[in-house]
Amino acid sequence: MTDTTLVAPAEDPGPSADEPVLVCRGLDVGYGKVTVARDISFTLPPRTVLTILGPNGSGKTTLLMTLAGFLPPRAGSITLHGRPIKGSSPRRMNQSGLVLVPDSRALFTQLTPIQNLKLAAPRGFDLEPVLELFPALARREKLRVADLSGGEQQMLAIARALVQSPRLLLIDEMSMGLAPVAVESLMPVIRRVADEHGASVIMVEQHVQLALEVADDALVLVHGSIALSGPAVTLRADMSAVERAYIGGDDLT
Amino acid sequence: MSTYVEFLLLGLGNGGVFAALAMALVVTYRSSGVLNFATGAQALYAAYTYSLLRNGQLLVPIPGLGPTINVGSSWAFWPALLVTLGIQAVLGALAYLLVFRPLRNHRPVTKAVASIGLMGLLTAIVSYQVGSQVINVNPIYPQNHVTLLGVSVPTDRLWLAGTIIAVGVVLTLIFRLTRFGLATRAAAETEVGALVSGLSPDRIALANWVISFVVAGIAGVLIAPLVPLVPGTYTLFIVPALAAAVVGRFHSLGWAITTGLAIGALESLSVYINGIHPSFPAGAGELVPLVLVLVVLGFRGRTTPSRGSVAQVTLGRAPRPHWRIPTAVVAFCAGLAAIYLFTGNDRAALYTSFITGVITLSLVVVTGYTGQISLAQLTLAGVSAYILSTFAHSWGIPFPIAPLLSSLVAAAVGVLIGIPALRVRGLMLGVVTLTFAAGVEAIWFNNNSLDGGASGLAIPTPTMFGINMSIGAGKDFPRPAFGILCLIVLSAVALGVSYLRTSRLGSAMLAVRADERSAAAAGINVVRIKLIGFGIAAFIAGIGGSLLAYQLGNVTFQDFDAFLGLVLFSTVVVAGITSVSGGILAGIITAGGLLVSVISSNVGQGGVDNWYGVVAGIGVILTVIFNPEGVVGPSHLFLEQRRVRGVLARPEGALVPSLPGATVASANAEPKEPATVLAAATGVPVGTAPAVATNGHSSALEGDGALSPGALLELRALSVHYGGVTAVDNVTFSVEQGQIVGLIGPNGAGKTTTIDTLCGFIAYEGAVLFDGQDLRDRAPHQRAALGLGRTFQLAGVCDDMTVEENVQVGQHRVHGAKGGADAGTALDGILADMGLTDMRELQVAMLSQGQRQLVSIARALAGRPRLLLLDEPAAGLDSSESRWLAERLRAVRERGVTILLVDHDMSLVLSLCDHIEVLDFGALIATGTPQQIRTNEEVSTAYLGATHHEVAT
Repeated sequence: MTDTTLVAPAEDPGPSADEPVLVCRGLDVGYGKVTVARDISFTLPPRTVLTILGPNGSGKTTLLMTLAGFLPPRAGSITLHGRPIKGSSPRRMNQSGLVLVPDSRALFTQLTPIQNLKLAAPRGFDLEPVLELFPALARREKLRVADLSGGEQQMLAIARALVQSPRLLLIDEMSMGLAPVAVESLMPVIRRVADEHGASVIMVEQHVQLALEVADDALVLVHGSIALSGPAVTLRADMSAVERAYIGGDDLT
Repeated sequence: MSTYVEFLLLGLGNGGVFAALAMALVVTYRSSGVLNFATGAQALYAAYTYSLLRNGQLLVPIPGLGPTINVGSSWAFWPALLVTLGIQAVLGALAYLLVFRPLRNHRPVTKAVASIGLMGLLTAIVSYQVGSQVINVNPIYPQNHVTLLGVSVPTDRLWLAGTIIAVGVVLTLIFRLTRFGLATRAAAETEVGALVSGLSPDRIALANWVISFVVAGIAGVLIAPLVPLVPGTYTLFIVPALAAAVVGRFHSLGWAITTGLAIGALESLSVYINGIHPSFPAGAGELVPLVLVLVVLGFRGRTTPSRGSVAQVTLGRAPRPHWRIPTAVVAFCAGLAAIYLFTGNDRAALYTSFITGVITLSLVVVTGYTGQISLAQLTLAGVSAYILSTFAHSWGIPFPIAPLLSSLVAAAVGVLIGIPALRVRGLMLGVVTLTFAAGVEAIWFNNNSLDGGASGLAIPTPTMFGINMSIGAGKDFPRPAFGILCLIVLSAVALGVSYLRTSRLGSAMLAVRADERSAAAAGINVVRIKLIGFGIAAFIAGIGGSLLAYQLGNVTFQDFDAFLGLVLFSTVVVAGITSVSGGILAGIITAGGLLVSVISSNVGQGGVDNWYGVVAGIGVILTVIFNPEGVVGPSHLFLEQRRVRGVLARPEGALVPSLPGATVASANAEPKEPATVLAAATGVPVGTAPAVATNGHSSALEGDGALSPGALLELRALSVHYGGVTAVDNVTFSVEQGQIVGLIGPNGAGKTTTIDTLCGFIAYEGAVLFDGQDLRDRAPHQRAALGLGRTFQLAGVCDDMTVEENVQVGQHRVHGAKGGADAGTALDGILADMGLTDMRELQVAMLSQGQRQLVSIARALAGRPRLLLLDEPAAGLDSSESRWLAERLRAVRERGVTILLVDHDMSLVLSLCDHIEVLDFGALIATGTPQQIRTNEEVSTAYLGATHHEVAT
């Protein structure tokens, strides 16, 4: 990664400012013998927050893990910054600026928050701007991560992604196990990542309303296929459609 | 008293080496999950490199290029040490890059077997290059004595221990203070975390392998002047080192070092006590590792495996044998012909192959079928051989009786070894059995008062009906009669093991191997099956051991050495540990077996025997990397695929579940037809007042609540705590006889935990009543016996077995181990109901996810449950498949089975269930009919999350 400072907006976000960050075409994802989601296609423009919604078991996490290189796609193509992705390697995806915040958070719980950040940041990286986004973390310097609250751990997981100056940030179920208040305090940070730092964000979220307020685009995954997609504003205007997609059933006719 | 202290301190020499090797073990285990059996061999290699350098020779690591290169006269200590450690570093990097990096995503067992291959390879290289040449090394430390605690102690031992402790302190500081150390600890905790932090777990592991080889190298260099250079001794330093690493839980360097030093001291003490009280066995100190391992793992192990601990053992498929009798007849005739075809040494080697085949078949039973890693099978053969001498020679028990009795003794010992397996799983069981093997060798086989001295224990000639079946001696050697005896025994054992595979007992074993929890839930008594597996395997090993004793004429400990046992294990893995043919092939390719003998008598004497270890080590490594099912694996796979194609060719045998129009039509004819479901969903606005109360059954629905006479299952104030987390919080509901009840909720709501609790896998507060009986303190298989059946997320069926065999596992409890005509009829009915009749002969591995779910349900039904607990049966199914599944589940209900269903597929749950319970954060938030649940605001909040408005208030 060339741009190591987070605060300076990415002046040169890639070969072309308008080129889509990510393009998925006919993607099938799954693990083991199970195909979880089929024929997923979408395009993610730069500086955009896309939220992926959908009931449990609809394949959201599997999709994210595939995008992050942890699972090989079973069919279809992924294009990142204009380059087709071959094979699957989480390390290569991370090096091309795609940073995942997994739903397990996968923090180093025996280390301190600062140690967690230092391991992820390039040498000599100034942690201050990121810590300013999460004042609560700075107060917890001396504790082991295992002793932080769930909300603080989630902040740390996001901070650990931000110190890597991501060009594409994937966040899986940020709200898992958190009180709604904690979730709400995290949402503006996501918006700032896109607006001020020029990164794109894909977030999988349970809190439909909160997610739609922050996101630019939304995509509802039901039963492994896209049931609904469009600008977040449109979906927010007709919540009953989202509601139907979630609870009412799927393509039964 | 002072002499005791002196010997304790003398033991610090060996203890320091154990400590260093334990550190090396911890380092590789933490960084790459490899339980590295080669650690002792790494020290051995360094000891030779260093010793030869001190004599002006550089050890060449590649056999065939000459043993050593002359590098001047004798080297001083420091240059020799530094070059040795440099070579160790290179070897460490190569070991990771060539062996363990390609295996980084494999299971721990696979990696451990590769390390056994590496161990064999390093040991063999040293043996090949240097052989039995005696190398003298000058002492490193000053040879003084100091007076400590009133005892005069040689300073070199103290220096050695001090050096190792210093190395430990340096390593600890590196891991605590440097960025590399932090990264190592971080990646050890979560590899996903390391990857999403931009760290490279690969490079971290590489560096740690280098450290591990260097630390082991330091140990080898330091011990070289103190312990005579003999390959076997150094390699088996791994046993006490493993025990020390276990005490340090493969995490703490401090504990590993302390324990290593302590084991060394105690071993030395036991040698001293033996000196003054000859009745005290000198090897008693070598039992210390076994005791430590048993205590630490026994207390830490759990009686039931934790969530998601799918058995780690996939050493390949256990294929179902076909054409059994013809194969046996042909193989027997071939063996018979071979006995007369070969002469002299080749014929003797053929007998060795027969006998080894018997012993390796015991590994097929215990590891290949039952999934328990036993590194003590050769030791069990030795137990039988030693006892045989007592029975046949001392007590004069006649031929067929004495070996059978001695094999029974081995079986009893085998069951004893199996007891730790009830609490210890996977690789750690391998550690237990290896320390057991080393302990038995030290205290019994190599015990001067029991082993018959230098000539070993005498074994009389086997005769039956006046026929002399001995192997003979002199010109007579080797007599065909003995070969025929071995061949008959081998054929009988092979047929027996083959029938075991297709028997109901064998199915139960494979089910235990595939997933212990799932097996227990299917009604199998896992404890019993494991012990039976160990017992049968030990009996077979005992028979092999008796034959080996008759072949040798007298028994010495070298023939049943723990190191040989390890090598034998890896040989079977190479041949194929999951099938009879693999076991027999292992006999043919074993050291001293037919293959080696034939090659060496054709190619020329001498060369091949020496090459064997090198080739075998490389063979093991290549096999686990490229062909984990062993040499015989691909041929089995080929045959299976041909059979599958045969079934596919039949028109009715489509592998994709066909959804004939008739089935879908009947689904639509159901009262809750999908169209209505959708209409109801769209027709009811969200936000109407909740129709149901939230606290258990305190609502208008109380009428069909917990007190109803029709309740088959009742949960009363059920709570489950994990550490500080409340996973299930005071949940009360009941399931009516004949209903399908849904249990739903967002991720982490506690649904699977609730089902696990009902099955007896998790401790709980509150009460669970099934048909009026309190289920407290009942084991999972006992609950299954009461009529509680269950399926698992992602099926939990056994891939190796056919559909039919999997379902038979479920019948184990109802129809016993024998089955019978009843069982057959029941089986046909269940398969027909689940639409699996055409696929009954196919391996489950060949089926689609949807079909596997059906197999899983069929297996649960085979146990004749009254209540079926289904955990996400629709996971991985597409919409049409899940509708088809709903059809099948309605058919199940028609059979009078009550169902409690956990699933995320809302349309399935809403259309299928009579009643739904909703969990969120462990608590019951709603209960009611599908219609009531659909319109419940709390439910939609739980699923859709909070709104901004709610947060604000």
